[in-house]
Amino acid sequence: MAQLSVFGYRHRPTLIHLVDVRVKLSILVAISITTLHAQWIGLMVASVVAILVLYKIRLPIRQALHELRWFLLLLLVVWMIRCLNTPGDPLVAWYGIELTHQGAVVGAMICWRWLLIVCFGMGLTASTRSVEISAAVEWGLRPLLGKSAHSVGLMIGLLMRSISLILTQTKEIADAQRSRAIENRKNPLYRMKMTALPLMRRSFLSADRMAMAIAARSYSECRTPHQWTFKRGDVIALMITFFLCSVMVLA
Amino acid sequence: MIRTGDHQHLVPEKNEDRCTIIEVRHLTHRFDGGPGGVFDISLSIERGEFVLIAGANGSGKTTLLRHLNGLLLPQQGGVSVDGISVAKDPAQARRKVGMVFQDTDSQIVGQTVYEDVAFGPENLCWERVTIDQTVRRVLTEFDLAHLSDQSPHLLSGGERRRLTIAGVLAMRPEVLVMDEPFANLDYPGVKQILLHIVRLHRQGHTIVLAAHDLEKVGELAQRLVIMSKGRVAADGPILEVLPHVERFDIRLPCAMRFGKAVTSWLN
Repeated sequence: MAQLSVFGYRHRPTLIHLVDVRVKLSILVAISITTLHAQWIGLMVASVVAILVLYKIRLPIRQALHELRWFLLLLLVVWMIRCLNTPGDPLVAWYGIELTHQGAVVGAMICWRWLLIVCFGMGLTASTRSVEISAAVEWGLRPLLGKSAHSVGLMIGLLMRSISLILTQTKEIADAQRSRAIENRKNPLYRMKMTALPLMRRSFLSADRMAMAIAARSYSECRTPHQWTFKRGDVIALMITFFLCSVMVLA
Repeated sequence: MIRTGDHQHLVPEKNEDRCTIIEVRHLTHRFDGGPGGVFDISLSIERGEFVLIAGANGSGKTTLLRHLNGLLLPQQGGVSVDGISVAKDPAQARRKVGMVFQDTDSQIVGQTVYEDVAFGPENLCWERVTIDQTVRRVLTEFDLAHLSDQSPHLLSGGERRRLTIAGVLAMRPEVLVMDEPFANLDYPGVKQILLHIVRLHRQGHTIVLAAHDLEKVGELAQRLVIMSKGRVAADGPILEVLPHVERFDIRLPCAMRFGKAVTSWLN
């Protein structure tokens, strides 16, 4: 048995799970764009919404923090760069290097926005099956791309399926390396190489096997179409999102 | 049963009157840069037969199985399913011949158990109502109905193996091809899979099963095909071929070593 990744689908009897996937994707796009333009109060509103969504889906916060650790590190680097690059009142000065107050505020706002968008994205992937997301993307792109939209939908579906597989393989390889005392090697490049090479090899092999298994089950462009479930609740969800986005922008 | 050639290969006598569902004629498939592949294989499988294909690692079992539903196409020779060439109509072969792979993780594509079983019928463009009925029936048959909303990654090894078989059977194939279905399973898991295989065979499915260990399934199969170095080294009723298996790097079932009859793991 394996542990589910925070990016994987989790079945729960929640209203969020029941919302039509096209509506969910529209909400994600709308709320992400609004978040990018929101200020303090708007971001606080978005944070409350994100916490509520993640709570309802019962996403394990500790596991999420662990799996997002490299992304959080990236955010820290972005914040530091902003602190150093933005002119203003010095918060800390050290041998001519200044971390400014204005930089810290601007950096925090940027990181907060990115983190919120990732949280909303996790809310979507945890409450929506990948097959639904790919069907929605295909539905949205069909007027623009025609039949090619199906290939884009398939690619997204396989990518989302592969993420959890690759994360599981990464953990297995890391465990195997640790059991052979890789931690005694201090060179991070060596350690990275010893993980990355077998991971790439296994990922390509898995992709190959998956493609073969899909072909064995008669996969083609002609499939039973996805069954959409657009109901009154979806209209209400769209109206609530419109209201929230308005509050976030105007606040 | 006759012996042929210098290698003392055992090859069955031809019986043209029987109802053949799979016909392999002089099949050859080589892989670039490696010794693997299959060479000049000819065999026919009858409707409703339970065939066990055994051989050491690298003997060509998986390569042969992948030709049966058109995942690999012959470089020489041919394969036909129900009289239709697999090379000409691989889609038809995949509908008639369902394949269960050794690696369950790569075969499971759905994010829930239900979704994975529905994947095959959706590919066949069935009506949504028919898909739903079929998926629920198959899940009940394989005792997976209570897990239908569960993520496949949270299932045990035995449950995952049952899911892969259920996913293939939902497409209603006539032939079920299984590549090492007992790999990584514990004793209860093996027994569960054996029970389902026996049930499916009794229901009339043709079963083609590849394994390197004859202990688990030796008593249940009707015919044993031994592969060695990409060729059919022996082929015949299981009780006639079994005494010769150690010649081809396959271990004789334990009971036979002590001069007793092979017993089923289900007894």
